[in-house]
Amino acid sequence: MLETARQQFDVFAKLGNAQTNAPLRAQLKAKLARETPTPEALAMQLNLARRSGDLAATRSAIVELARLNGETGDFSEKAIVPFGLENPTGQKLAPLIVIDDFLQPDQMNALHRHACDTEDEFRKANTNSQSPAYDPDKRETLVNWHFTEMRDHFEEFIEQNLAEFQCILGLPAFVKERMELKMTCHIDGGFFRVHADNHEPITEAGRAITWLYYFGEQTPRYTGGELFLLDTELATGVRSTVWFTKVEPKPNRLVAFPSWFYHAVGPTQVECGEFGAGRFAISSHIRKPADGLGWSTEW
Amino acid sequence: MTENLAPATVLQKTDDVLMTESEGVTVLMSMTTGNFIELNGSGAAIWEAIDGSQNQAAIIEHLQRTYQIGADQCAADVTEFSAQLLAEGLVQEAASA
Ligand SMILES: [Fe+2]
Repeated sequence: MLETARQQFDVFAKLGNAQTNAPLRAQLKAKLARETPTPEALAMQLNLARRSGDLAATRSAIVELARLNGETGDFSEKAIVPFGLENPTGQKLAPLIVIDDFLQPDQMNALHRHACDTEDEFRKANTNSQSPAYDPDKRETLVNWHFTEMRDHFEEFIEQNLAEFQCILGLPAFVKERMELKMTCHIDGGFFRVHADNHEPITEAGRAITWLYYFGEQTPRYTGGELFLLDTELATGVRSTVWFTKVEPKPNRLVAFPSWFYHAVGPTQVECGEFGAGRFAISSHIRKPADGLGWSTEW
Repeated sequence: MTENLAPATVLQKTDDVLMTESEGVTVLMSMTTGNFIELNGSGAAIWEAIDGSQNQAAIIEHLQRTYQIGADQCAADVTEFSAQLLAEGLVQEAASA
């Protein structure tokens, strides 16, 4: 990994350190209890919670903030971050869906067994679809495009839930053109530098929703591998270096976000070095055709 | 904000600061920018000295005497770090008396 990538991940790790953030969050909570809460203070509470990877606190802070603004705060349970929120420096928070305990435990175990049985089908990933070259400075991911286990299940789930996903993420009801679907594994040293999955204007054809399903051993032997979803100004591609939502890659967790938001995957450590102990994911992009739909200016 | 703070400038801490100790290092967080500022030895002393009454010249003189450091080095450290604190919204210019 290049030194610049290492430094970037060090910054994310420091800013997202739950231990460092905990006393700061406690001070802020005490301040909020003493004084009449302001939208700014509640937004800070939300920003510290999501930066620390505390998704439950993130959601409740968002509900609290919405109610202070006279809204109902009645978001779908899957919406950890609803669309339309902005950080103090003017970038949008990536709308985020999280579904924990997505599969039955035995289904996840079967998927993991399938991944381990097909280890020799995994290849080092290209940086992106346009660049065929493998570049270890940008990403270190093993990919298997041809996995079979549970494939239909994921296809069907998306078919049935696309409308709800679009609604939560603030996207119009675009037609699904096709879905890229692959199995990935981050073994020791795996990472993916800051990038966006789609750089095209939102009305153009391309990736619209990125979703990931994390799986692996019930009790992971890996550490790291977090998803950092960076606050992004979509019109310019400017992303925050300070504000992000951190998502732990907990086994049996599904996450989804709009593909235009910048994100990164932190370095994974797998001390034992075993393939089966790695951080696995089903990684997918839902693609849409060019359209003239009414894209919300909210995000 | 200015890089070179005038010697007569008096700074005070803002209300927008959260502070914690992490692995023996004091960490300040600006509620404005969200950045963390780690206070190393001289940073901690400068932060301590910013009290809303001492101006920059007085802080430089105080630290120079206390820590036996060269005048130029001390002045550079204080103005540079104070400017950083100002930019992060951790301190502000005190209202003149
Ligand atoms: Fe990506």
